[in-house]
This record gives sequence, C-alpha cells and structure tokens, in this order.
Amino acid sequence: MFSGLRPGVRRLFQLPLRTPGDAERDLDEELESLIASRIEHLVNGGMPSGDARAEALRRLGPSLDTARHNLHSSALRRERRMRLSDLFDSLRQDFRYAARTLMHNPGFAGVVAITLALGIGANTAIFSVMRGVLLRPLPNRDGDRLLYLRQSANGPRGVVNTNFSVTELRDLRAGVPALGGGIAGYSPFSAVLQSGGEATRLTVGLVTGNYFDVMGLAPVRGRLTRPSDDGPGVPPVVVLTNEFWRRHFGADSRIVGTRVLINGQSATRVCDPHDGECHRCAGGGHRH
Amino acid sequence: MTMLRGTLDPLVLKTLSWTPMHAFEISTWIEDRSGGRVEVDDAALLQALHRMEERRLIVAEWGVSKSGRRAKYYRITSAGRQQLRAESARLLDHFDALGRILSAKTAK
Repeated sequence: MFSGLRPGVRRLFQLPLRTPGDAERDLDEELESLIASRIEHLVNGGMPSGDARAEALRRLGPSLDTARHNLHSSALRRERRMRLSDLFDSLRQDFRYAARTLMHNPGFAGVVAITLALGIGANTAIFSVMRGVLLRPLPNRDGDRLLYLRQSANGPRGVVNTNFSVTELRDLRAGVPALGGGIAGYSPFSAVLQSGGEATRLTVGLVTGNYFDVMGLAPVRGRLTRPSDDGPGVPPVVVLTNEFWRRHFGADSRIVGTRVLINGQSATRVCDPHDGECHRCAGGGHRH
Repeated sequence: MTMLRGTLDPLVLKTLSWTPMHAFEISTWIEDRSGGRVEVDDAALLQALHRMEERRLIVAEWGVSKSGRRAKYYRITSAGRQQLRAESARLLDHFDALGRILSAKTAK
C-alpha cells in the first residue's frame, strides 16, 4: 500500500524505508547472484554450462520456486522483526534520555509532575461528577417515569425555577386526583445534626410522607416515611441515607428509633433507605 | 554428508570471522575447509543468514564481487563473535563427548 510514496514522504511519516517489495527484489537479486557465481565457478572448473546450471539449481533444494517462496517469507519476517527491534531500541534510548534530563533538572521535573497532577486531578473530578449526575441510572423504581417539577412566575417580583410551597403542593395533589398519590415534595436545606454528643453539618431534605413511595425506594432497616407522618402536630421523623448511616454510625442497627436534634429540633430516626439523599419528614412548626 | 541441526549457524559465523563474504563464498569456503565432506544447501544457508541478521549477529551490505558482479556481503558483529565463541565451545565439547564414546574400543 505504501510502495508508491517517495522516500522523502515516507521518512516524514516514519514509514519503513524499505517496502516488502524492496525486500523481495533484494532477495531475488541475491539469489541470481548466487546461482551465477556457482555456474561461473563450475564452468571455470571445466563443467559444461548446461550441467553447471543444473548443478547450481540442485543446490537450492527440490525446486527453485519453493526455494524462492520460502526465502521471500524468511526475508519479510526478518525485515519485520528488525524493524520492531529498532523501534524498541529507540524507545528505550528515548526513555533513558528523558530520565537523565529530568534527573539533571529536578526543578523542571517538579513543575512537570505538578502540571500533570493538576490536569489529571481536574479531569478525574469532572468526570466523577459527570458520572454521578448524568451517567449513573437512578436507583429508583421506574426512574424514567420520574419528573422533577419546578415553577417560575412572571411579574415585578418574579421568581424563576423555584420550589412549590406546602400549600401549593397540597393544592396540586387535590387538583390532580389521577396523580394525587404520586406527587411528592423535596426541599433541601443545610442543617446541623446532633446525635450522641456529636454535631455534624449536612444537607437535609424536607419531604412529604409519600416521597419514598413515589421515588420507589425501600428501607434497609426500620421504616420509610408515610403520609401519616405529614402535617402539624405529628412528631417529625428522620430517614438516613445508606451512605450516611455507614459513614457516621458504622451501619449500627440500634439507632433506629433513637432521637436526634436537627437544628435544635428533635426528631426520631426511623430508617435507612437503600439509597438516596438524607431526609426528614415534613412535621409541624417550621418555616416551610 | 547432511548438516547436523544447529551446526550451520556456528559454521557460518566462523567463516565470516575471517573476512566478510557473500553467500556463494561462504558455501565454497565451508566445502573446501571440510575437504569436500560438508555440502551446504544454498537455500538453508540464505535462511540461516536471514536469521542471524535478524539477531544482529551479522550485518549485510551490497558490494561488488571479485568477478565484478553485484553481491550481498555479510560481516560479523561483535555480538556475533561472542555468540561464535560460546557456540563453538559448546559444540566442540559435545562432539568430544560423542567422540570418546564412539571411538572407545569395543570388546572383541
């Protein structure tokens, strides 16, 4: 395929300078030379030229064609292997040179290492986020039928892409009976969780009782929230994510039913779902 | 006399250790030196030369022969000389051992 290119072009693209055709022609010429030399030698020794030629060909084995064919393969194999070993040699030399240069310039080497580390680190971080946000499928049941609703309002004090309030949510559920049970609310806020003398800042999701049902999640221990946990006057409950449970409480089953303080408000820890975010039920007496 | 397996390579290296030669010269040299007892198969010789060139024991270069013909000359490398020393020692030792067994006088 590359035999039509000029040597200059081949050198530019680092293609082998000798084509397979070259190697074969080379071999043919060498064979010719060998046969001719032998004939000349025999004729000088007194043998008639016809016999000399026959003898020369005999020395090549049963048939000239098989000999030529085998020698072609042998020559091509040689070319290929020599080219490969040349490549390895030059690669090894390049590595040695690079290592020597870096050792003599530790400052430069340091800058190179830091640049690479920053580049690799940044890429890894971004791809991790992408994977978690975009590529990983939702752990929920029927994840492709889940819709995330936000609202925007025009006007002088217009808002864009914001939550629904508790009352709005109640109205929505009442107004669309077909989806009534299937509308759940989720509002994240930052809070401090106090439990067993420890305080941790975390993201808490304020959810309606039917949230876990809509999301299609199942608990690992204890129970998930129910519609009965909604409304004022009902004791608030806390659901922990699996990850949080493992990380902070070492997957201890005894914490089900114990009490914690979230932003100073007491809530009962009821369960740990299979996956998802950290949650707390909509109880009474808070700003939402 | 047929060539024993593995002996052609060291013979070729030994031949080239005197001076660079082309394929025909190598074949003739070996034949003469063995008193005509060893006849080299030319195809096998060329294959052996390819093998050894691959392993960098010899290098090839086109030149002009004594009779004015274009011929491919082979020259031994230092790696080739090392290989020759090792192989020669091994083979000579091997044949010495065989010789002792075979030339021992059998009981009448």
